[in-house]
Amino acid sequence: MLTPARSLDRFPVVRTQNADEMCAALERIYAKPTLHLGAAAEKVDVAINCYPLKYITLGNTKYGIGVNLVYPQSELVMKTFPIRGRGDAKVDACAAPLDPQHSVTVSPHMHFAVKLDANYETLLLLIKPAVLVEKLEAITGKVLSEPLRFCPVQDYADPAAKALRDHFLFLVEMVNASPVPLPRLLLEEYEETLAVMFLHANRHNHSVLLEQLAPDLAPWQLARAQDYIEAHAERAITVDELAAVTGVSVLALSAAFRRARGVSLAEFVCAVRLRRARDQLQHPSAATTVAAIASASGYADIERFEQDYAATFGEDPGQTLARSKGPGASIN
Amino acid sequence: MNASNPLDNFPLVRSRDIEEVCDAIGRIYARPALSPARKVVAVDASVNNCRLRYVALAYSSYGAPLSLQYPETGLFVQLFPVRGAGEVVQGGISATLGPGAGTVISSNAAYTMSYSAEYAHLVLRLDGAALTTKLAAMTGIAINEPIRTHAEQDFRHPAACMLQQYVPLLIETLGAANPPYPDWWILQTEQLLMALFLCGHRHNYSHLFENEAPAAGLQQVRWAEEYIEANAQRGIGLGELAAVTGVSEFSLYRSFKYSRGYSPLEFAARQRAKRESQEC
Repeated sequence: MLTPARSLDRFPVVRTQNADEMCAALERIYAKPTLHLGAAAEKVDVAINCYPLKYITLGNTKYGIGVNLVYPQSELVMKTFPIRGRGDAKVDACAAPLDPQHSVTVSPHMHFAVKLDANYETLLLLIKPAVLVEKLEAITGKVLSEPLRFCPVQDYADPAAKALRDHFLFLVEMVNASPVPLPRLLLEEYEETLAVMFLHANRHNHSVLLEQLAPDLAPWQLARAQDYIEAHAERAITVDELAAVTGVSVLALSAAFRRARGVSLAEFVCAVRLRRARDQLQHPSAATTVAAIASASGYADIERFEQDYAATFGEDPGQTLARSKGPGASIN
Repeated sequence: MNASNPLDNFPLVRSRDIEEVCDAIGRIYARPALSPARKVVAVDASVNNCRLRYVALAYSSYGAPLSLQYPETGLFVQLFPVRGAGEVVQGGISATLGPGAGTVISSNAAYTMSYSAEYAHLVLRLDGAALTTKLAAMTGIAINEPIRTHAEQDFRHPAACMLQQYVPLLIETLGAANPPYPDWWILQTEQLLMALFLCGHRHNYSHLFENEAPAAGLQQVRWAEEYIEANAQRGIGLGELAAVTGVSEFSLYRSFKYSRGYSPLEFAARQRAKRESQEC
């Protein structure tokens, strides 16, 4: 997993020991919190960095002492990626741990309060909900009936959550390391990518819309893949070719196939070849041999063909052929 | 031989027979011809290929010194060598391949690649027509002339560096996908790869991706710093720095602030204060 080497340190918003300045800076990024200090005598030692983009803002905060912050409702979606220390969060009524193994997501208009220890430091991803709604509507083709609400707690055991975190950290690294600003159009594309990954990686009240749409290829796409396999059963077909024929990605095709047919693409291709081979063995010409059919079915190895055939149809290909040719045929 | 290679979950071919390898590549890309056309004694080839929709990511190693001739394909190809050495010749221009030294292959001409035995690379292939559509969508202009990449590329361009580092990240992400990512996820990452390719390379439309005010490079920032340090005993204005570095005041200020986090004037004031405190 990527670890942020320098957390947006080229983009300071504020370095201060003044609590009012700190709250004013947080208001510019997210919302103005009410601050409760751990011990009255202590002073904050705040560093806040931030890099605003078109739809999202990358942020980084540390406070130098233990603090309690209570935020008012914000218009933004905020996701924390703690990198050091720990704390506890409350998102509406839901308690959530703040530590480097977890990420907390706060949806718009939710109550958010945190209790942080002195060495807590986090990276922040703030998103205007409009870009998420636009993406979701574009993907599903449906107008959302209610605003997006995300599940507050997430860990990185889920590869999708890890992918989002890695892609987010990658952008943090890139903007921080680049000697000149990255092209605006490129940054916008990256923001859109993060928005899509965000919708995929976080559980939300519209997740089911996305899941409904993931499984199925259009029937014509499945049929076309199947036709192609049948038409080219005599040679090795790659998943890539099938993706080209059906116009979907390899990953989507494999997944859709397994769901629609209950077998993997490779198993399906194999089954088609064996069925064709059986058909030819059952309707032989005088010249038909098992070896020729094995070869025409994409098998370089006749023994392997005999094994697969026997496993599928419960008899050797030679037996099928002998029966089809009949007792008279073998004499010719 | 590495225990595991990038994209091993998307195997295309594993073979010691070069003809079989060429056939397999022919099915997903274009069939290469051996150059010179003689039998290679033995290869130990591993080719993986993950096709998204209009973009594909691949890994290949051949385990034998080899020279392959490819026809014109209509695809843009970028090579990211991971080990060994090689060479690409296209249109009479040769590019050296090695870790950190990749190249872009234009879609409109045949080319020849030669590899050392231990050579391995990641490959990014982009469909020319899809890339043109993406270019039109990003810039909002009609694209009548086909995209032509320049023979000379600057791989230190920030977007080129980003692409260089993004490809391994995406490959790692795709390798960890279980269950696979949905189509809409894949298609968005494909859009990003196309945007990175368009922004990171010099071609006949790359001026459209320049930022509104082209920033002075790091070199100019460094010159400005050296000049300030050398003249710390007196006040230095932006105009003077611009004259010394040969870029505009605005541009220098912007790139200085961007790359250092503070302005050249703040830096000058600090240097002056430091000099004065040393003299006391």
